[in-house]
Amino acid sequence: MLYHGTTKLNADSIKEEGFNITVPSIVEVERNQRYKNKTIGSLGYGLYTFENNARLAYEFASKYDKVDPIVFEISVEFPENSLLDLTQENMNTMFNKFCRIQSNTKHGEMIYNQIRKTRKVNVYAGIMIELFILFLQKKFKVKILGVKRWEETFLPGTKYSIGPNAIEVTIRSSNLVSKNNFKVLRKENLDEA
Amino acid sequence: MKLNEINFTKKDVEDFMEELNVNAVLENIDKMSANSESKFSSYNLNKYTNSISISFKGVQLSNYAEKETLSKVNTDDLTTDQNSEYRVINILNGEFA
Repeated sequence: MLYHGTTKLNADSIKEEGFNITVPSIVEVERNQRYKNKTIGSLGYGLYTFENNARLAYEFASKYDKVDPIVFEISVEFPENSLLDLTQENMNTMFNKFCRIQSNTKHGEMIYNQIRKTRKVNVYAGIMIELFILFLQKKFKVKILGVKRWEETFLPGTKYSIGPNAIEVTIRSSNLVSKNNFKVLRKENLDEA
Repeated sequence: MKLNEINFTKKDVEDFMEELNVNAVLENIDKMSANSESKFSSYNLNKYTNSISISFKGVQLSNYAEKETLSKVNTDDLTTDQNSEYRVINILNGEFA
């Protein structure tokens, strides 16, 4: 099961209209004008969730809504070959191989230099994921609808990085999350989930 | 082919990178927020991008508010609803890390 924590303000909108997941293309500029302030996470674009960890979703949301953070429980079945699962050794090896090779190309160096110049080091991992997804799509004709990897989520009181503390999963298509397969998790049920 | 069975060569990646519209990627990087906690701002907030604003002590704050203006707000003075919106505005502006 996947858990997504957010503010009450945002949750009200989701309850009413469902999840509106948008995934801009990293290689298209014009189309992305509508996503002017959209940032990219370490797993690329998409709806971010925690796998089997409702408590962490709640604590994460609490950073942004101290009064009434909300956790959604989402049941998603990714179609075969659509989940880029980097918790699997083989897939992670392939991803690292891709990153290593691309970083030594002319365009790879230009991307790295742009990251350094603009001091956006935090977005590099997400860009690599988006490029790898694009590569898989072009080379192997597979459409990636989600990415899964161990990640570190900083919580209140965390002073320094201590390494990954949860498996995060992104959902890259609204079609995977209909109103029938998500619900609000009651606060008293957080630790049972 | 199954995802976990894929394999590729160095040349496959080099060819892909050579064909990449790198200028578009660079331009997109320019537009990205440096905020690493994008897992919050990346979901379902895009519809607010052009609409969120709150009025606080005569100052209209929006998702395009200047960092300096945002920093003047004492969040203790905000109502719960205003506080939520203020946080969203900050996140959209990449001010919450």
